[in-house]
Amino acid sequence: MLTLGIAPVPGMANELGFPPLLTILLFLPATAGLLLLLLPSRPRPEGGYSWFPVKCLAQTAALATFGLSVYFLVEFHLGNLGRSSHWAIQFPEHGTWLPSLGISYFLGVDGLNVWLVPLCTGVMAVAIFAACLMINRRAKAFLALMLIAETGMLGVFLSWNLFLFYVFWELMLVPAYFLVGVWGEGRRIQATTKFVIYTIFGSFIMLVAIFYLYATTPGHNLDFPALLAHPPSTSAQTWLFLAFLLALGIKAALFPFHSWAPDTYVEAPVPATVLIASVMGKTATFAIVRFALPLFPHAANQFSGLLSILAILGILYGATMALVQIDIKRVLAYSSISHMNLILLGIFALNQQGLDGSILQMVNHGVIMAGLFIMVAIVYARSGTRRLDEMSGLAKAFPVMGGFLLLLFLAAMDLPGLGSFAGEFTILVGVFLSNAWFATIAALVTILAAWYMVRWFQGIVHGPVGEQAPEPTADASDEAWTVYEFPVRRQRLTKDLRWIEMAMIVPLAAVVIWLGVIPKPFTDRTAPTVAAVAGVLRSGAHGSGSAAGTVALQPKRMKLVVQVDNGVDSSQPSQQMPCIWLPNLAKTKPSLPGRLTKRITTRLTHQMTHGSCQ
Amino acid sequence: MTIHLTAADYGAVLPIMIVLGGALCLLLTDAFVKVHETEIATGISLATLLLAFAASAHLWAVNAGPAFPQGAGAMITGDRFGQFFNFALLLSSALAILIAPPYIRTSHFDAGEFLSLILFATAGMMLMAASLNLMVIFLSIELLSLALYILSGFDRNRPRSQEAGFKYFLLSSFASAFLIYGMALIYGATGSTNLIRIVNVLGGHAGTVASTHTVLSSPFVLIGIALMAVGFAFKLSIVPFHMWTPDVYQGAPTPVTAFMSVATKAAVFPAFLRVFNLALGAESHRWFGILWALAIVTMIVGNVLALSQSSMKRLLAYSGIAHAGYVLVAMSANNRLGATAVAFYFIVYAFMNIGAFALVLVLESRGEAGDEIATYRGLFARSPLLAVATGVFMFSLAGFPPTAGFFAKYYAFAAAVQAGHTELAIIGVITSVISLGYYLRVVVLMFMQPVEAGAEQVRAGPLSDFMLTASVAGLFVVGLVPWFYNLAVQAVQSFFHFTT
Repeated sequence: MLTLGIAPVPGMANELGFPPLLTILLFLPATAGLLLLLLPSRPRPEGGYSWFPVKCLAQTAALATFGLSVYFLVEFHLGNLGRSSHWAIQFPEHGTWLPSLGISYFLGVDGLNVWLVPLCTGVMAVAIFAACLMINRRAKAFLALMLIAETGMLGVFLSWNLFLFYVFWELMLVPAYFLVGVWGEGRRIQATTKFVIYTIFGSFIMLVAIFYLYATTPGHNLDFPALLAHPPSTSAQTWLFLAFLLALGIKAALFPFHSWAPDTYVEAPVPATVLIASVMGKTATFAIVRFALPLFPHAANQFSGLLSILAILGILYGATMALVQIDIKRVLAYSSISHMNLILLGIFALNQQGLDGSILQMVNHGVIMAGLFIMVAIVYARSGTRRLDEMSGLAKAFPVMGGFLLLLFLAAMDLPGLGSFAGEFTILVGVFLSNAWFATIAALVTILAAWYMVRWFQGIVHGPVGEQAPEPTADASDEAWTVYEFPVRRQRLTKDLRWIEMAMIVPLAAVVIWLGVIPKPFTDRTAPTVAAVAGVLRSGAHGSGSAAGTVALQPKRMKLVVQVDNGVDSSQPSQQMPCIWLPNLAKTKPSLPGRLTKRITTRLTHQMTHGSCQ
Repeated sequence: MTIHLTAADYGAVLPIMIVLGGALCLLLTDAFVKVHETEIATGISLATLLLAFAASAHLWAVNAGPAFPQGAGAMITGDRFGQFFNFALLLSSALAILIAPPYIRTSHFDAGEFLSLILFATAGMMLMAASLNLMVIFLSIELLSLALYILSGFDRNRPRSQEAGFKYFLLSSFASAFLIYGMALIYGATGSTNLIRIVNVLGGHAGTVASTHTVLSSPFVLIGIALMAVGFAFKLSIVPFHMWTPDVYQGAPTPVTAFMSVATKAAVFPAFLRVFNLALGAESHRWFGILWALAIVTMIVGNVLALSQSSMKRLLAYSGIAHAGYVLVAMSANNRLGATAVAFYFIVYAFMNIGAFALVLVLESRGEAGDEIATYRGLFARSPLLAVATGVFMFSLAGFPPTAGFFAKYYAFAAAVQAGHTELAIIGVITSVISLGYYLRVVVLMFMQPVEAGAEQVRAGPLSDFMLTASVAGLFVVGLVPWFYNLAVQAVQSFFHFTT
């Protein structure tokens, strides 16, 4: 019997807790971003502005956010309390907002977002570092927008109320619009307009679905647990699911809705490309798993075949297009689309393995794509061109850069031992279990991935050391400064990878290797929740079209189960009793920083050495 | 019928009397004061509005109980619903007056006359929001219209302004005729112009079922409903009665356009709600089809025609038409959430729409062609505050969270879905996507295009700076803080009080 740990529906009036760590995590970047705008800009005597204090503050905020997000990773409660599967919302923070409209402020962590939150904060910390190095025009506004977008994306990952989710979903779009439109390259305005119109169209349709859920759910409650307990009728599910999938599919670049993506990725400045391709795309794939699948399980099963076919077409399309591009950034843009469709394929397998692999692959893809797009900037600073036919043999002059390129290239090609292999392999296993034909085709298509990545890699680093490409002009035309501002003196770099550039790439490379070698701490955290989602989906396939039969939800006010960390319940919940985890932080433990370091060292080393946490 | 006026009756009209008194006072001072005329007149009118706001807030606090307060022989009411719209009206009046002085100076207007006319119009609007009787509705609509006719043609040396005043006058009087004919027919069918009596007659409270049925099937009622809908629709610039809007908005002096674009609608919608949702609420199946069709056509036409405008005032005119369509969606839902959404919408709309006109006004006060959208190129470099504020207004008008524009739209469409009209919400959001086409064009020009060489910095002046900052802050606070929404909920409770 599947039992889901569900937060109480009307209870928990104002359980923000103290300190409200998730709230702090969520609003830290945006607050820092707004503070940045208040800092005065100091003009430099030789022209331009000195952005050093601004950049320091932005980087500090990004790193602090990342540090705080790691705390949740470490403190995340593992295990499943002796139940078959269990979907607990940990670190819940629930505040009333507009109860009559079902709108509440509800944050929490579960197995789906526990890794995506640090992915977001970590990649954003790197992206902001890249921005500090690369952006010198209106740097203050750029960094502020990056930080505000980070809050938007974190909000999407952390929200458990559909309205709150939607607010953050739109909130992250506005900064991205300006990041591409103001700091982008040649066709930036067309790209950013297309990006916004595409995504907002889908989002507004999703908004109508949210209205519908509001109007039809008993008690007008948009909290996720309440929605899960009252699934819509099977006929309504069809339309609601399609409305959600339209919005989320557009943002995730699902095949027929992908056409905004390559332009936006290419025209955006590199830090913004990292933001959009690495993190913002994941918000959509994540939201499919969080909201669209469990809330509409019947429709999900109904459409999984069709959506899988679209995803396979997307993999094929992205790979084929990547194969024929000349611009190294555009190759990556299409490869990103291809990989995103693979993640979607894993999701649409609707089983444990597929979902597990997809979530792992979301993290991998985010990290690898961030690394690759930053490498594009680094390569460009040295080659002076982004065209594959104009550059060759860079490895001779820049061996260290070539080494890092090789590592990321291998990761993108799913070399066993690197993170993406584990992810894609699990995805394919999941797809195989649901439909062997799809899995076979998808596996064959991944050969194309190897092909275009090899072409990309060889084009950059191998070959004869050709005649040097022309110097980038340092003229004052509008577009010239936007092309790449990495070296402040607009000339080609002649030195190999500098340490400051390595600081961007090394952490990403380390994560790629770590996830490939030791994926256990990863799956330990995701597996119970993924099992719960898969359970809801199974029941949607066979049951009456709803998960209501299996979700035991008591209508009256729920009791909170306080879980002490030694694993003994203060009140053992019955099998039927939905519960919510509240790791009792403040009362039983010493100061937070001391505990944090102890936890990180003990738990992670323990997991790495023993491969288990209990 | 003898009318016994009590203190409560005077209380109900107190805010209106204050505004009228302020306007008269302004006319008097205008005759004597010759130095710093604009400053003094602005000060007096703002003080008047503040005082009226306090009186309105007092009425709000007094009329908290379940009893439905009626003043002046059930002609008007001091209920919370009316007070809430008073807040919106006083707010939009104050915002428009805050940005007006530079324009008044450059156009050599007589400040006392100009501002007192705005106050007279405001008083008429407040009376309209408070009216409980068809006759009072008609009187107040004439009071506000007369002031607006003069204001539209106030720049009498400019042919565009003359055209605007004359056009507004002709078409508006025509629509008034429709309105009063509809009212006459309703009176003929129900025997009363009092909205509460009409409810009783139509809702079967007073008569038997049989007599109700006879009244309802009377063609007078149906024709009356249709004619009144036409009259209201004209004032609200709802398609197909919108033809005057772009011309009048473009021709009228910009402060007047800013003011009337919000305040007229904020005055007419409560009366529209009182007549349709309250008096004819039980008969919604008879009028729902009309409003349903009007809402759809208005949203589509407003948004599509706005796409091709090169004049900011015309663009905002069409955007205003579209927004009237969104509000109409909420109203036609004919439920509590819908009425709440209408009330909430105008607080938000005052901030974002008058704010959007501020840009035109600031540029025009400097002698630039501020109405031409093309001149906004690179505005961010010329005036960061003005550009950022206008950007916020555009995103709010387009309905992006976390600005209040999103929340207002959300409530409006949620009301329609709750009433079972998902199609209205779908058309609403699709036309909202279309609206991005023109709102974002302004944003692109301001932020993403390089400034032309030699363009000067723009400084808006302290009052305008204050207005812009307050509006931006308002747009975030009103949406995110639930207090404002709850205020609207309370306002609507009094409105629905005696139908339940």
